[in-house]
This record gives sequence, C-alpha cells and structure tokens, in this order.
Amino acid sequence: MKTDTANKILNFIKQNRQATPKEIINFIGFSAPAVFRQLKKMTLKGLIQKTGTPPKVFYYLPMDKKVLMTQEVFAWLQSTQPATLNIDQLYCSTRDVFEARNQRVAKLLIDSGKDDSFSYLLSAVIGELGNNSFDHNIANWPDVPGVYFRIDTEARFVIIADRGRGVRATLQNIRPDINSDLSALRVAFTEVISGRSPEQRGNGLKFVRNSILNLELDFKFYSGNAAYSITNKTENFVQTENSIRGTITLISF
Amino acid sequence: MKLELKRFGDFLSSRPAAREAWLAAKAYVLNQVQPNEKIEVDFSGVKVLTPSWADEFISNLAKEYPGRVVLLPSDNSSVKASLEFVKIE
Repeated sequence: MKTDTANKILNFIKQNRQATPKEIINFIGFSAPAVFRQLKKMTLKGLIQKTGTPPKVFYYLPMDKKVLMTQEVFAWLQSTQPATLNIDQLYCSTRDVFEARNQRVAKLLIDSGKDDSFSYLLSAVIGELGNNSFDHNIANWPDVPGVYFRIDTEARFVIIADRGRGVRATLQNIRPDINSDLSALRVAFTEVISGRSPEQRGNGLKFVRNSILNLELDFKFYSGNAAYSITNKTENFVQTENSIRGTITLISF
Repeated sequence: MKLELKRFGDFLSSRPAAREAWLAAKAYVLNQVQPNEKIEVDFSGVKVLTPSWADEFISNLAKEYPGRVVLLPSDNSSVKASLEFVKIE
C-alpha cells in the first residue's frame, strides 16, 4: 500500500475521531493483513496511536487523544444512564483498585523523564483527588460506585472522574447555605471545610490547588454546572453551560 | 523514640490506610514509648504522602501524645506539601 492509503486512513480517523480496525478495513477495502501492516507502519511512525485491548481496539490521531478521552468521559458523566465506557479497565470500582493503580504512577512519571520531586507530588495530588471521591460517596453512590482514572505519560494528561454526588451535595451537609455549584467549588478550593462533619478535615482540595500552582500545571475541575481552572498560574471559577454528575478533573503536565 | 513511617509503606495515601497504620502503631510500636518521651516522626523512605493520610495518622498521634510529637524535616516534595496542612500542638 502506498502513501495515499495512509492518507485515506488518516482522514478517515480524523473524520470519525477514532476508528476500529474493522471500520478501517471496511473503508479501505483491502485484506485485513494488508491493513494491519499499514496500521503498524503508521503507528511506528507516530502518525496514529492505538488504545485498548482486543476486541476493543481504537486508532486515533495523537493530537486528538486527550480531547477524545475527555469527551468520552464527559459523555459518561452527562448520561442519565451510567453507560459503559469503552476503556473499562481504567475504571476503579473500589478504592483498593484505584490505590494499586496510583502506586505505579510515580514510577511511570519518572520513567517518562520527570524528576522525583514532580512525580511524587503529582502522585499525591492524584491520590487526594481519587480518594476524595471514595471518602465523600461511600454508601451514597447514586448509581455506579468508583472512579475512572487515566494517566497518559505520552500525551501528558490525567483524567479522574466519578458519578458521585458532586461537590455541592457533599458540602451542603455542613454548609446548607451553599446554593450553587459555583459557590461550592469556591468553598472547596479556597476554604478549610469538611464535607464529612464533625471530622476535622477538608484540606484535600486546598492541597491540590497549592500543588498544581507550585508545579505550574494546567488544571480543570468540574462538578455540576461549575468549573474551576488553573492556566499559567491564573485561577478561574466559571459557570458551565452543561451540567455533569459527580466530578471530573483534568490535569495536563 | 523515632517513629519511622516507612514501616507502613512508601506510598501513604488514603484515610483508611492511615487508620489501619495508626491502630498498628498503637498496638505494636507506641506501646514501647516511655512516659514523657518525645516521639520523632521520621519520613525518610516515604515517597508519596497525602494530606489525608498525614491528617488521619499524625492528628491522632498528636491528640494521644500532646506536646510530645516532633515532625522531622524531609526533602520529599509530597511530604513537605502535605505537612503544610497538618497541625500539631
């Protein structure tokens, strides 16, 4: 197969944002072994990337990976039904699964070229965010318990998401005066308060905020119809058009 | 006495894990502390510490042994950042 076939495959993936091998084979019309050879060549050249394990394998363009995965998780959080995610091995239904996966994060980051200081602190941030989901939703998960957790050291991003009660419902236990998702996020990230009163705690998201600012990372956190972001060390709280269940955190590094 | 946190692992993240560590410390380590003896918390060997783990463990320790807990300095980024949120009297 020649370059024009590679271009056709690239355009097909671009139009569909992602494609399975079967979809590509049907589109190109060549034999499966020939298409797989081409896909392998294109992957080695870095033109496309592959994710998942058979039979759920998808090809996508490298620059779109972060956008694609983020859209997929947002759709999951906006669904009225807890639809299954394509990459279900990234779902941590219990805290033990999440902790076991996060234990490998520091080494993954160090192996990808990050220094120890960065890697240990980012792992602590991820641990705090993921464990928050479990701490504040235990025995109260609206439908699906657990968190979605993806770290990609090539595309350099982290996604942590849950279909829990969200920040506002959690904080209203102790602060019934909080009447919007936006004010809930402001309180969560800037005031010391615990959503599990009477326990004396509530520093987790303040720690996340300080660490992200110190590491100079891009950060977005959504809950309900509000978002908190840090971009180039500048913080913003905004109301969003669409509402999500639970929370989602996006970190770029 | 020196209380080495690495005995509980080098990845100290969740509150349930900290509660378990605290109960184990009380039963098997802190039962050897002398009256009025200082307890030096040693973070060497710890790679990842979260404020949740630190709060759950160290706050209990400080409550049980008021005025006797000393946090030894650490160069680890996650230890330093987490300890900013832990108060001991």
